[in-house]
Amino acid sequence: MRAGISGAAYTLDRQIAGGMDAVVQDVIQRALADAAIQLADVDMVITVASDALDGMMVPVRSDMAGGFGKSYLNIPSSAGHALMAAASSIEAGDAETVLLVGWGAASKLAEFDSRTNQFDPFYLRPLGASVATLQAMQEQSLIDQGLISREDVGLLASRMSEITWGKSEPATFCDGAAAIVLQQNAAGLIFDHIGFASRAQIPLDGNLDPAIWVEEVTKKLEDPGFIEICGQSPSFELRALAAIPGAKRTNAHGGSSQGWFGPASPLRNLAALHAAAGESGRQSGLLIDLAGPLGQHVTAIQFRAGGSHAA
Amino acid sequence: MRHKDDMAAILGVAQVPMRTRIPEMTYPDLLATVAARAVEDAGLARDEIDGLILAQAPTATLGVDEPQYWGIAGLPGAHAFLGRVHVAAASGLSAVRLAASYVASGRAKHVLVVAADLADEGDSLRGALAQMHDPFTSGQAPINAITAAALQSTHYMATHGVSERIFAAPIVKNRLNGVGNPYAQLRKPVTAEEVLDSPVLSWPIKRLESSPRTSGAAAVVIGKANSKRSVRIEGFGNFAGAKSIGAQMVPGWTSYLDGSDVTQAAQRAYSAAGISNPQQELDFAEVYTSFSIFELLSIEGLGLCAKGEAARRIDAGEFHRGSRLPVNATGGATCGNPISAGALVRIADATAQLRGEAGDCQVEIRHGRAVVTAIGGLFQTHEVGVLAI
Repeated sequence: MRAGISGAAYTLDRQIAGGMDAVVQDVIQRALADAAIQLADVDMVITVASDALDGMMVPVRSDMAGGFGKSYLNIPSSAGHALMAAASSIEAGDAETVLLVGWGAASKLAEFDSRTNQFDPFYLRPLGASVATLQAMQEQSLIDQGLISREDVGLLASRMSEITWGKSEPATFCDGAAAIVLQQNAAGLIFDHIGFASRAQIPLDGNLDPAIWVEEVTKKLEDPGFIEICGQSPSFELRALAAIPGAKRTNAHGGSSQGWFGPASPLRNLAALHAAAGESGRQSGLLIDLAGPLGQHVTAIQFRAGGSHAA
Repeated sequence: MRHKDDMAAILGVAQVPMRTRIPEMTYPDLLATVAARAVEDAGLARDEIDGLILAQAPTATLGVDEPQYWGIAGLPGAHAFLGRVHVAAASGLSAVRLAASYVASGRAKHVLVVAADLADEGDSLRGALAQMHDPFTSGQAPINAITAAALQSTHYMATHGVSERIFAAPIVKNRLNGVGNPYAQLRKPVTAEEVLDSPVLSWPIKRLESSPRTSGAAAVVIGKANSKRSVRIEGFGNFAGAKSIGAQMVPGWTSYLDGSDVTQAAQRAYSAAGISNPQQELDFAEVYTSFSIFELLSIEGLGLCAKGEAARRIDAGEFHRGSRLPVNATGGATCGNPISAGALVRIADATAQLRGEAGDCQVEIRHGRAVVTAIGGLFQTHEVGVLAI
């Protein structure tokens, strides 16, 4: 009894004026239409969104996300965690149709990055810890080890920006929303295997190379077809890409380092994969979510094509 | 209904004594303490935990966003972190529901659910909880958790023709129950007059009708039953209601005010657990009572008595610890309410009761079944769980 994707939709923009509610409800309606179902057919709603980006508690807005009357969960830590939760709920028989909705208005972070609040106030913040400094530390460590170069990072960011926005203007933050409909043995991409692993805020073993973490969760996978790797920084997307043996079509939808709207960002890539799988008949693929300031919460979801997408 | 052998079960529980402030422990310290104790209580080794879920409601009280990055370091199962669940004050029970799904699906064998709250880090808990409200619309009205509960209370009084005095009954009962609970923050009894004479927060709610500001932590290990002390999770029911009164644009829709959303969640849980007559099939209930009105609406919504009857029956001695169907036998949130961990505390207390390990707070166990509830947001997301031993 494997969960799979029946429908999906997303919206992405550099900056969305006027709030996210209408955008969220639009992607929900489009995802439901893609799945050829009504909201009434959904029995569970899972949201992925940050209180900090919304400015108010996400679970209090569950009805905005289609949750009224449904069984509801909010899992703001990452899209990978929410996807695992949805799959497990379906596989356990606790839900038949899950609507997974994620959104975020992260464009504001370009002016003031409030993610500094993620660091403990006793030791890390007094040292000046922030997402930017940690990622800079990680990138320098990878450069010092000869694993990447700044030129490589810049080239990747430029290429991902072209794919995501149609032009080379690297910039991380944007606004977006995505909705995924999951059902048992759906017609779309089936969740075949899920691997996951996490490291501490500052990894205790001193390793800052995302390739190690990605290898750990993907070692059971064989010959993945399409790959989409999503992280907050191009440097750890770069290392994660290098860790996949036999990687062929990689980040055809731009990853998320150049289109990051919060923890839900990989849902946008998943929606794009779903749509592309229908068009091209791709048979299998891999979505990797690298959540956290160092990409240290890794979820790898291997897909195979379901009924309508099978060759 | 799942077969008994296929049900997820509570294998281990732990909590720390609740206090207003716990200055000697940081947030990670609290999590690590209850995590270790719960794993030990489950009879497991650390490396047998293959899933970790952090239940954390609003982070404004901690002053740290995305606390999972900070808090889970070194915890059992941290390498297999399954995510943070945030459904406001229902987070703990929602996280246990998710953990049960992981176990039932076979994706994990032993999932540790942890939660902690440090409620005294900031000046105002009510200010921290203001994040529940839309700053553009709700900000124009004096809406907060207290005034919203006050609205429910006045609706209850008008609907059932009762006075504000009825709200003292659950508090007197719970405060008396808390005396015997070594984990309770408030362990002194109060009289009805003391409750009614306490300062008005938002009429008709008095200060002693509201739960205190509490720091605390709890943890639960979920897996397949591994001993006679394992408590099966027979069924869960969750119902997400609406934030705004009348949001559904249906004339006469009063679920926010009359607690019928609790009934929806309860019916789902009872259906999953095969319960048709809760009054006859349950030994006790652990319900979320951050305000007195919540206990009345919860008792009635769970089908433990008719609507409008809860307070009168508490006054008559029903639902007390020595009665046939006790509610909040350890004092409940009335005697301590660490918001993120509160639902896990309900689970821990219910588990101790079913195991016969509740000490001075022990109730009689005849059927080996109990119900626990949690409420998230503005009385809007309802979790109901049926436990059995």
